Amino acid sequence: MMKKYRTYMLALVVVLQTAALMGMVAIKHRTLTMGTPVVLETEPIDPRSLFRGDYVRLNYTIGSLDYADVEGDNEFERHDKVYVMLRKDEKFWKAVSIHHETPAHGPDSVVIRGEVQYSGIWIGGESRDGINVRYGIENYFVPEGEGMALERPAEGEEVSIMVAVDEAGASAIKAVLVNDEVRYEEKLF
Amino acid sequence: MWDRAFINRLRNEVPDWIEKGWVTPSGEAAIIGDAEARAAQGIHVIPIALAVIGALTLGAGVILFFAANWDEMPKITKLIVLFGSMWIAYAIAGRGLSGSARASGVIAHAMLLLGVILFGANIHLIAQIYHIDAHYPNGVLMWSLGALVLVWAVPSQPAAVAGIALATLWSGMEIVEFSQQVHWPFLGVWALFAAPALYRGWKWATCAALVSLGVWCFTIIIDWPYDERGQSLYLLQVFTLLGVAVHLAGRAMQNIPRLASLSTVVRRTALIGALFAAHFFIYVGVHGLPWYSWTGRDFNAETWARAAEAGPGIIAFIAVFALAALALAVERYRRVAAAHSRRDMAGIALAGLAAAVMLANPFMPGRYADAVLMYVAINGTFFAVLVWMVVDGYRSGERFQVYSAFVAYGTGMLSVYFMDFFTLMERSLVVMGGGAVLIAGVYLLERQRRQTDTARAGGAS
Repeated sequence: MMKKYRTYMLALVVVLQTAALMGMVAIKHRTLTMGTPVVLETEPIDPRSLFRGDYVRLNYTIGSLDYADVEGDNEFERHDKVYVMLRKDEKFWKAVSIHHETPAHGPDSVVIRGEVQYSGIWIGGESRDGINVRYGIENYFVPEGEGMALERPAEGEEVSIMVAVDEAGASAIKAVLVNDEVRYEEKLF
Repeated sequence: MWDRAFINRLRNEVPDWIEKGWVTPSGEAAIIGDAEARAAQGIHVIPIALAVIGALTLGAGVILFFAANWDEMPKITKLIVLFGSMWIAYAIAGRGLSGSARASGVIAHAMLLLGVILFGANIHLIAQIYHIDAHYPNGVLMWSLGALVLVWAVPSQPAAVAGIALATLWSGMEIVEFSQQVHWPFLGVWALFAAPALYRGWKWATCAALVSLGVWCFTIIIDWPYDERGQSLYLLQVFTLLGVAVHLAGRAMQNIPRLASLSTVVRRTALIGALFAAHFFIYVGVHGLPWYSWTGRDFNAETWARAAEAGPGIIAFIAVFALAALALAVERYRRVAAAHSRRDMAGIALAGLAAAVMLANPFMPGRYADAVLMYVAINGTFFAVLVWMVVDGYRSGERFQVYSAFVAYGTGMLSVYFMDFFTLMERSLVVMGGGAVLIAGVYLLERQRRQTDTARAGGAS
C-alpha cells in the first residue's frame, strides 16, 4: 500500500516537473506568437567580442537611455523595474519615454519591461544622467561555428533583431535579421 | 564494511571475556547474533555514497553527451532527449522504490538524485534552446523547488541535500549579484527543507540545512553595504547567539524521543557555526579600532563601528537570540538540577554574562575607550566560554567539544600573532600567555584524568 502510494507521488512529481519545464516553453511561445513584432537596432560595444562561445551578446540602442533624450520618470536605482515605451521611427523602434509603472499607450507604440542594471551611462566618452537597462533579450544562442559568420559582417551588412513584445511588457527574440532579411527565426520546434 | 570489522573484533574478544567470567558462553551467541542483526538493518553509508557518486557521474556524462551532439539535433529531438532522460531516471527510481531489497532502495535514491540533476539541466538547456534570459537566480530557485516537491512527495535524503545546496546558491546569487541586503525569502524555502529533515530524522540533510543557514549568514556579512560596515559587529553578535541558541536546542533535543537521534549533529554543527562567527570578535577592525598600531591608538577616535547604529531590527534580533540562548541554558540547568555541579552553574553564569555583554554592546557610546572596553569584555567572555567548553567537554566525555574549543583558541592566538594593532611586545606577551595557559590546562586535565582512572581502578579491585 505504502509502496503504491510512493509510486503515485513520484508520478505526481514527474508531472509537476514536466509541467514546469513545458510552462517555460509555453510562456515564451505565447510572447512570440501574441506579441507585437518590433525591430531593434543593436550596437556592439566591441565588435571583437560580439560572439562569445556559442552565444551572441546583443547590445541594443534602447539598452542605454539618456534622461535628456526620453520623457517620463528620471529617478531610477539599480535593479528597479523599468517600463520603456517604444515607437517606430524610420526603420527601428526607438525609446520615447521611461516609467516606473506601465504607462497607457496608443496602437502606434509598445511598452517593453526591463531591469535597471546601473544608473549613469557613458555616451561618446561622456558621462550622462541615464540608465542602462537589461530586457532579457541580450543573449542569443547560435549553432557552434555559425556565430563567426555574423561576427564580422561583410562590408555594408547590418545586423538587427526582431523582438516580440507582449501586452505585459515581456519580450522574446523572434528573429535575427541581416540587411533586413531573416537569418535565424524562432519556431516552437 | 565497518560493521563486519566490528563483528570480527567481537568474535576475537568475546572468548577472552568468557574466560574472565564477564560473559557467559550462552551470551556469546546472543551478542554476536544481535550485532549481526543490527548490521543487517543499519544504514550502509558506503553503498549509498557510491550510488550517489554514480548518479552524479552518470548525470555529468549524459549532459556532456547532449552537449557533444547538441547542434546536430532538431529542437523536437532535443526536447525528447531532455524529457526522456529525466523520465527514465524517475521510472528506474519508481521501480527501485517498489522493490523490497535494500539494494533497490539505494539505487532508487541515486536515481531520484539523478532525476533532480536532470531537472536542473533541463531548465538551463530549455532556457538555451528558447533563448530564455530571465532573472537568472530564478532558474536555480526553480531547480531547488523541483527538489523540494520531490522531498515532500517521495522522501529522499540525497534530494533534500541537493535542494538545500541549490536554495543556498539561489540566495547567494540574490545577495551578492542583486544586492539583497538580507534575502528573507530564503528562510521560507530553507524551512520547507528543514522540516522534513527533522521530521524524518535525516542526519545529513539536517547537517546540510544548518551549514546552509551558516553560509547564508556569512554571505550577508560579507556583502553588507560598505557605508554600513560598522554594523558587522552587531551582525556577528546575532549570528553567534543564533549558533549558541541552536546548539542549546540541540542539547534539549536529547530529551525529545523523536528528535534525539539528531541531537549530536545539531549540537556539533551549530557549535562550529557559533565558534566560527565568534572568532571574528578577535579582529580589532570589527570593533571599529584601527588595524595598525603605527596609525596611533587614538586614531579615528570616533570609530565607525561605534558611529554605526545597530538599528532597532538588529538589536531586536540580538535580544531574541540572547534571551533564547539564556532560556535554553536555564532549561537545561533545571533538567540536571538534581545533580547540578559547579560546572553547570558556571555554564549558566557564563551564558548570562555573554547575553549581558551582547545586549549592552549596541548601547555603548561611540568613544574609543568604550570600543576597547567592549573588545576586552567580548573576547574575555569568549575566552572564558572556551575554557568552560574544554572542562565541560572533558568531564562529560564530549571530545568534539574539547577539540572545537582548542581549535577556536588556537585560531584566536594565531590571529593575535598577525594583528598589527598590537605592538610586538604586546603580541609576544599575549601569545606566550596563551601558550602557557594551554599547556597548564592540558596538564591539569591530564592530572585529573589520571586521578579519576586511579580511583576507578581502586574501586574495581
